[in-house]
Amino acid sequence: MDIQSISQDIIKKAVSGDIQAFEEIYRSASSFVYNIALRTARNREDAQEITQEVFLKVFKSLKDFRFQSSFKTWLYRITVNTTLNMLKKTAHDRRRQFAYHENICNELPLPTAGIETSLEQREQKAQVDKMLEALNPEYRTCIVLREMQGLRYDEIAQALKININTVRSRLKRAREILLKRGGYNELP
Amino acid sequence: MNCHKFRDIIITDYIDGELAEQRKQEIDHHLRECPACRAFAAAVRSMAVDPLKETTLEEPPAFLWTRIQSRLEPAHSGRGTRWLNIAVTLSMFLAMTFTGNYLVSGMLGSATQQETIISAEVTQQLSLSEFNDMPNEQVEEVYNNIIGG
Ligand SMILES: [Zn+2]
Repeated sequence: MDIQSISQDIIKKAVSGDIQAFEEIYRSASSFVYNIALRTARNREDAQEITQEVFLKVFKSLKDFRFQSSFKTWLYRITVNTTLNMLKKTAHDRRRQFAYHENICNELPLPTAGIETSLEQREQKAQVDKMLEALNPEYRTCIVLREMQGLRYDEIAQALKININTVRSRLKRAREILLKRGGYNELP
Repeated sequence: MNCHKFRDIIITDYIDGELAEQRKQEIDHHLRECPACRAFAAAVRSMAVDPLKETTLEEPPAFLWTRIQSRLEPAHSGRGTRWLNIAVTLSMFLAMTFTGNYLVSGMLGSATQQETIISAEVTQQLSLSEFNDMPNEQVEEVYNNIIGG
């Protein structure tokens, strides 16, 4: 089951308050939402909270969904907005917390690591985390939608409500940052 | 087209498969001829694209649906609900009265107070859409201000 398999019929049932239909939507789409949140927020607890908030929002505003646009991009948009808002909020909270504990701790806590199956996987995840960390949330969101969710430029533009050329320039900037980070020196 | 222009396309549309066939062939042709651009394309793939693509997706924990579901179900009607309704109405009335007073005192209040209110509103309205028309550098700056570096 994936996000493409969600039918109009199911959406209409969910709009009328059918929880089972809504659960079907959740089962098909929660992995996408959760992974965008996880990659952007880089913390499981935040990702769970974002996923919860997204689906509560979806439940509330499903009746406003227009069938002309794709459900996927509509959902991406809600997810990305919720994630960015959460990042702003936690950054603010952390700064306050930090100011308060200034004398006690010198460094912000790193995101907690989960149980990974192999060392290789763990190393790979750590590498991805570091790469994403090098990007600001706007670039990061574009990269996550492109690389991890495989969205086309026009889909990213729709999801973020930005111009397709902005998608292009953000991906370019993000990748240039990653190149520099990787130690690539441009040849003449 | 010079190498610089080619690389702008390589790092975006070419790598992402967004090019029309003819355009793609043009780039392929240049890559065969130009070792520097070939090295660039390889670097982009290995440092900025492939490692991110290989990430395995995670499933959200099973308890999450239960948590969400418990927030979806409408409150059961019963004795408690009536008291709750009264309490809600009462607190809304109090809140309205309070807001009214606050607004009036805000209007009459000092300039500093008004500034505080305005800056709070600005912060609130600073949502994603506001960044759309900004150049990237500016967006970066705003974000750095918000996130704090
Ligand atoms: Zn070249």
